[in-house]
Amino acid sequence: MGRVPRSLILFIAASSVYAAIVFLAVHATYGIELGRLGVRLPDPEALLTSIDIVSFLFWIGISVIASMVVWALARALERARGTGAQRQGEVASIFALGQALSGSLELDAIGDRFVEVATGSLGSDVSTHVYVQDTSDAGAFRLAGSHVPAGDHPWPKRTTAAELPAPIRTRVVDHRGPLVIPDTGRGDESARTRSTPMSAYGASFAALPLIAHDRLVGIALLSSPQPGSITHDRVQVVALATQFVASAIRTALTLKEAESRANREAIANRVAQRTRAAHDPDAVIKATVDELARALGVRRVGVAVGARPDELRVAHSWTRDAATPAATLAGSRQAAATGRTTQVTDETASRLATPIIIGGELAGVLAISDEPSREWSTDDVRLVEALARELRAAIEAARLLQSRQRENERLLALQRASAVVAARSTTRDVIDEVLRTASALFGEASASLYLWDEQEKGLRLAQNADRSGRSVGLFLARGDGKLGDELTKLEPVVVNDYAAWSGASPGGLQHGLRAVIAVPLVRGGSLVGAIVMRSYDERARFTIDDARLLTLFGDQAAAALANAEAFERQRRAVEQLERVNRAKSEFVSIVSHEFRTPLTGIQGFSEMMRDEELTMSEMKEYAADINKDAQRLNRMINEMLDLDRMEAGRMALNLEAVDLNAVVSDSVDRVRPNAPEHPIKLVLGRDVPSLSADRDRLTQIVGNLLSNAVKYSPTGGEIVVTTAREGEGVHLAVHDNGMGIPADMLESIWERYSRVESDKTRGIQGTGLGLAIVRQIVAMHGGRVWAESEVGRGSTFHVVLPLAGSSRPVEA
Amino acid sequence: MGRVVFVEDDPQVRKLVQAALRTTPHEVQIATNGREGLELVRRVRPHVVFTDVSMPEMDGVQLADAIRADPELATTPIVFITASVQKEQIARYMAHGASGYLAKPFSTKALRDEIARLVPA
Repeated sequence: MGRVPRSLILFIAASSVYAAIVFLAVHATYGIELGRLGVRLPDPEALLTSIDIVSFLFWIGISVIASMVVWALARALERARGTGAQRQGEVASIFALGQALSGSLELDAIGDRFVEVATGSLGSDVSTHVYVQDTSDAGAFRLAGSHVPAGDHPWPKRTTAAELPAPIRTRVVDHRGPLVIPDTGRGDESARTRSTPMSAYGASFAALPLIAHDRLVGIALLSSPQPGSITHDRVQVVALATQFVASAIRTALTLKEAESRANREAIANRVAQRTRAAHDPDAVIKATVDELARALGVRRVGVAVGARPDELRVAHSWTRDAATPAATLAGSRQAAATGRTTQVTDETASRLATPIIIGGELAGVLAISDEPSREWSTDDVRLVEALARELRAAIEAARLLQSRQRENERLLALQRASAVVAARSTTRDVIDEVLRTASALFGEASASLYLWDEQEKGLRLAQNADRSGRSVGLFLARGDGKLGDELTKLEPVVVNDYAAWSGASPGGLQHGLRAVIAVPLVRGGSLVGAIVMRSYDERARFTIDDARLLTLFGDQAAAALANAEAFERQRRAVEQLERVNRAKSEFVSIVSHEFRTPLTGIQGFSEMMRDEELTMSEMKEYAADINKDAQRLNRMINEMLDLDRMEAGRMALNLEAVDLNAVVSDSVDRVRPNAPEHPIKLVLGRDVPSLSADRDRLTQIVGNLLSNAVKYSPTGGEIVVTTAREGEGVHLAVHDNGMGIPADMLESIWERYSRVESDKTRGIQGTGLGLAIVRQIVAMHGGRVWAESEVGRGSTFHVVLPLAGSSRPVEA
Repeated sequence: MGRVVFVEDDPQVRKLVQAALRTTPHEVQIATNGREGLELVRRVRPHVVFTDVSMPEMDGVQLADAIRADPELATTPIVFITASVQKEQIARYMAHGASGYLAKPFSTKALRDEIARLVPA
């Protein structure tokens, strides 16, 4: 029952007093009038009973009726007056709201104001919730103010469009129109299509969009346990209020968003500045972690670096109230594996991790976590991702700097090494130095140097500097589709996953080869060799920089090799010249010896003929001796000139069919008288065919070889001359049991003026031309010569001549 | 009359020496190389030895060494017959105990003079 207005009570009290006064007045009037009339009332008390009661009742009745009328009037008046005041109050409250909102920008304050207005308008039994859009999370709504009467259940603090009941979502969020259901019990059109009936939210329900500048900035929800208490008419004031509120909310949101963005950008900028200022990636990582920890107020922030999810290593971490850094960062592996920002939230903690990706490849993870668990806002995610990007730049810059520094160091090392390499004068030394340098430049890898083999058309291993003792390919063929093939394209080869490489060789796979870098050594546009670095380390990775560096070094190495070869050629040429020079002066000395001997005879016999008395026969005999010595001298001169002509290619062969056995027999017959101490044995092949040759030169060959055999063997030493057919040629061998020839001289004895120098040979005369003449003649016939010998046991000189004298051009 | 041993591998030179000395009173014996020459020297005990330097088996220098190494022969004068007259060579011969040298081609007179110088009359 509503309370009785005080005016009514006063009125009733006044009416009762009036009735009592009227009664007393009437009573007194009656008494006086009766007394004047002489009517003595026997008992005044009795007198009352009849008239008094009637009049009293009459007056009471009038009074009551009047009271009733007045009360009714008063009530009507009261009501009329009350409605006006409320309207006035509502309007005033809206104005007040507008005024208040013009100053207030706190979303919660705006929400509270709105709730006040709604409650004031609809009554305190109506439950009110105001949601505003979350600045950091589009599509999410945050409770900004609420009024919930006792017994009514509150709505959640956060919700999203998707979580809202379907009619609200459709009508309010999507179409931005008001949804008013005065009686949810009476099935409305939307009741059939949703799982949860709207009646669950209240008997009477309304949802109003908060729209400002075509933007949905919030939702107001009104519900009442009384059916029909929320109607279109009754929510008009509230709907009006939503316009003010929406505008205020929008302003607040915009400001907040701007603030949030500015804040985020400020952090990112600070980090970026540090990134640019600091060359040390650790410093950048540390600054980023600290900045993020300060900005988000989370429990832990950390950065892990690594190229693979299972290789992540915590580079820096910060944990609230903990001095020791974290060993692992929760969620980082998942983020690294998926390459996307991941959020994991359970009862105790919330984790957020975002990968740091550089050039499409994982470089690390930035991770944060907080306890107790919390929701990560879009802002948080954006900030973490933005910082991860900054870190990327930092790590990249640092890496670049480091790699540049390393490259500089390596280039310096290369420069130094190149100087060292270039200073080596022999091929062997250059190869040694090249491999040493390559090993130093690529620490973990083993270095091999290959040289081009023109005959085999491939790269042959020259030297391998592998401490592990693993064997490497000895020959890299061209056209086998493998390393050799790649190198013949004259481009560096970089293989980082050897097992997966199409050019992998079984040997390499067997040794567990992981990575290969190979550069061709190029000279004059053609391949002359290759440097191959092989790594068996499973983490080994060769980069383009490595290839560039090794190519640079390869160029130096190729140049150094070329220089060394040229130098060696030069040195050989110089040595050759020196040898020839020495040999020539020796020759002069030898020739003077040789020439002086026949001269001795010529001079001596002619002196005797001049100074002594001689018989005619003596005269003749001495003249013959002089003639013999003169002929000998002449022969010696001719021999020397012959060789010169042969070597100069100025001597033509007089080819005819020659029987080698006959030539050998004649020569031996001629030598025997001059070498009585040496038994000469002939082993002549029966099937030795006649060959096309110059008979005189062939005789010269046999004569020279026999003369040598006699000169260099001791008295009594047997000499064996053998002839035999050999394929399409004939084989002549002269064997002696002499002092022999050291192995290192077997080639050079064929050179002009060359003689085996030793105490034993010092006394042996010779022009130093014999074997040179033999070789020259044999070469002119298209044959070949060689010698076999065992020092102290004897020597065998071999000559093979083709049957058809292929008179090929003779090298000068 | 003195005894002379002549060691020479060249047959023409040997013949020349024999012809040149056939009129001298000396007894001339000839060997064709150092080894034979040493045997001859030991047997003949000559007053002077002439030896060619360049010979097979044992050359003149080795022969000189062998003679100087033999106490009974050590004082025998040795003359080298050589084609080389360079100072170093001469010094080498002297170091090996040579008493003199004859340069090829030598005159028969020089040969005879050398014998006269070294063989006591």
